[in-house]
Amino acid sequence: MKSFILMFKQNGNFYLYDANRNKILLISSEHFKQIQGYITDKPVDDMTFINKLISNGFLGPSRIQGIEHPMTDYISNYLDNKLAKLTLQVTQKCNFRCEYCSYSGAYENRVHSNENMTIDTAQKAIDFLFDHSSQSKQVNIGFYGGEPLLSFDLIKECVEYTEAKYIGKDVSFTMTTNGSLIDRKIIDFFIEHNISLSISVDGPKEIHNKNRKLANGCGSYETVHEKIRLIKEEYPEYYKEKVTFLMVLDPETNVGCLNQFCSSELFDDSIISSSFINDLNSKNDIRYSEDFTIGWEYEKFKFYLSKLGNLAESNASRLLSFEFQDLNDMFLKFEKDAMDMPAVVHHGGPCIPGQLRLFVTTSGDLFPCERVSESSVSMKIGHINSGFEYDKAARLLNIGKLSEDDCKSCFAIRLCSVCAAHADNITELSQQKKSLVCNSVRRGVIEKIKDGCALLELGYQFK
Amino acid sequence: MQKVLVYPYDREFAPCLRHRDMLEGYVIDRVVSPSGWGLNGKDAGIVDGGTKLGLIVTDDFSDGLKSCDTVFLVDSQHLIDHEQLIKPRIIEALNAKKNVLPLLPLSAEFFGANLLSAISQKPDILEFDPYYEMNKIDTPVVGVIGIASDADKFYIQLALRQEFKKLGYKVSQIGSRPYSELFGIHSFPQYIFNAPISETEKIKAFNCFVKAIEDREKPDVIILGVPGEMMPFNDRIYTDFGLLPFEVFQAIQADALVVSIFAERISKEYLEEINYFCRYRFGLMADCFNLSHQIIDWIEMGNRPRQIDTCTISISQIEEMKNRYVRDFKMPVFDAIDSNDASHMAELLIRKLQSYSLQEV
Ligand code: SF4
Repeated sequence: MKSFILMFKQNGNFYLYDANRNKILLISSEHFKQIQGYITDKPVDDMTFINKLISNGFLGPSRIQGIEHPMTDYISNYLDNKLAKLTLQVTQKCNFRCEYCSYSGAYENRVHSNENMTIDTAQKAIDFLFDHSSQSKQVNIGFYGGEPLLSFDLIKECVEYTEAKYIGKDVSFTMTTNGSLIDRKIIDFFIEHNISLSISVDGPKEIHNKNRKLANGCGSYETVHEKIRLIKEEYPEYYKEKVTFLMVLDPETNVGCLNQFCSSELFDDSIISSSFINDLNSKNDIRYSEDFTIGWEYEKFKFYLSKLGNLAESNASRLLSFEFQDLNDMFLKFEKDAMDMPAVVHHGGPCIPGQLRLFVTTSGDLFPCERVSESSVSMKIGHINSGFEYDKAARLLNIGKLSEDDCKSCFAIRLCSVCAAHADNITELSQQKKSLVCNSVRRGVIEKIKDGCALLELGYQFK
Repeated sequence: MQKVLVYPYDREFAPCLRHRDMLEGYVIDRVVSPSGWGLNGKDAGIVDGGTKLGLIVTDDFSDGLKSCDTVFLVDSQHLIDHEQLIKPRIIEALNAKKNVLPLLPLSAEFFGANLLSAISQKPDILEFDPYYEMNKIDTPVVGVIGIASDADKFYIQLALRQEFKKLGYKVSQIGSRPYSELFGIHSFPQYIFNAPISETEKIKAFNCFVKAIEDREKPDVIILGVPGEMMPFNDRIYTDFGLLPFEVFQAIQADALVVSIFAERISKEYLEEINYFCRYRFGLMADCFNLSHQIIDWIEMGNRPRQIDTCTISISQIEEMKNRYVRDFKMPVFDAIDSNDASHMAELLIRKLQSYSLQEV
């Protein structure tokens, strides 16, 4: 009999995760063996415990008959009325040549170009946002590149256009920048218009310069740090309230150095979010060095110790706080009674393409977000002139259909994070590509569950 | 008839617009909404997913003012910045010698006593003797409650009023909105429930309030719309834990009940559970359910878990949902925004109320 479960041992304890119930049970070794026998159709001497589990809804087979995202019928409602964010690719130009950048040539069909967005396209995109957000209480407009500050005049026009034309909505502006072009005039404008900044920094000089290079091949550390210092010293209030940092983690770096860097005087009060080098559509395999992996796991260990009260919080890496938040949310969900698994369902992961962070390219093409390749035929969901292609958005939302049979019996279906971008091979959505990701997602889910259980064993309470 | 400009318009005022022919003494001529709300140039009916209303929303308040006598300043589902959106419009309307009727709460501190006295009307408070004894209400009462405060209850109340009147009944009504008087309906006497008296006294006072209406108006039927939500939505969104409807139905034994719920993939079990809840909390089961034109926006609620957020769906999607999920249920489920369905709802309720007049031996 095929159950919809994951079983594992850890630290002498035995666990069962049941996907139907979305719950983890701590069980005895004897019961563990009995369940192993039961699910492999071997005779079990004592069925008392198994029957108890069954009567509480555990150990059932997957009841999933079909894969369909529950929001499929409402895509147009959301895309027509509830857009939350618009990201404008104001230019494809960049004054940096970062090694891992999506436009560095290391990614399929994405290279730097000299394309700029015209004011006409930008205004149409802004009109498009307001026309499609009548039910959103707030909207955000983000400026993205290339390096967006190469098009500062366009950004200014966009902000002024929005403020003059669209009254009454809570609108915020954000920008992701390499920081190198910031000057006082620009900061004054940001402050006047309440624009939040996200500046990319990768760590101390050697680490930052390894990947984040100026167009002439030299490292950009000094240039960027001078600008960051300028903001912190001359505009401390703005720096505190509106400036955050993005750190791209190179899996060959020394994690310990990153922590020191984050606690340095310039960043000690700042929000730093981190992500690994984007491997979507990368031509090269992104390899994780042994040192990095060991360093990262060690930091995780320290982070958990701090959560358990065995290490001062100041010794825990802030780079892990977002990851921990995820773990925390996952375990809080385990505590609640999950809704019965519907017969038709979709795995976790996809959002309604375009609703949360609609990306508009310099030429006005629409994509679900800025992380996907703007050369991808399969990810393009429309154009500002012709509107959304709802069928294509529906296909991206229902990416689970690509691996329907696998998903129906996958224990990770509720905890999955795979979206269409993971299956995109630029010309089509590929089942093969998706299944590679599935393996690592399942591994990640198991690791997370084990970490959470270890914390519980040591008396931690998720809150 | 006064020609009216409605401002700032969004879904919140849509039930009134859909039933604007029931407004007493007013005809709505212009519907204006701030430019950032994305409604400019669209038919006003777009906000609730119902049929077109034949009124196009504009963002030009000054132009709209020219052809109107009165401005209805209405509440909205958007957060309104009173400094930017309301105060200048009040001043502009007063300078143009127009009447301004505020149908939203305005803070005296912010607007100042002078400005407020220029636009406020005396609240229409029914005189009644709160002698705090429980009276039997002899007229059949139809209660209207919602799973949440924004679950489209007011549509049901207006639609039932219209349908009952069409069928020739004399209707007395207490409406869940504070400006129900515009439709000849008594606004819910929130002042009773806000008064510094015990809960028991509030229940008795509300009973006396309804009795006073019955005595004065001698209706065939009373429609009672209860503000707020019938129960906490979850452990973070609970407002008054459904206390108000509980007290209302301790004061008044309703004879029929309509419960408005969000449009989800509802199951028979879900409706049964609500029904049991109503029976034990309010003393009667729902006679029918109304599907609000809203689905819960779980994505947005993930970001802002302390308020209910929804996404509007259309009349055809509701129809499709009814066909797909509720066709086989015994429990009637209607869509009060759909005028055909609203009349079916009214007929069902009338049949229920008529059955009480059969004398059993
Ligand atoms: S990991 Fe793969 S198979 Fe499992 S639910 Fe996610 S997409 Fe489906």
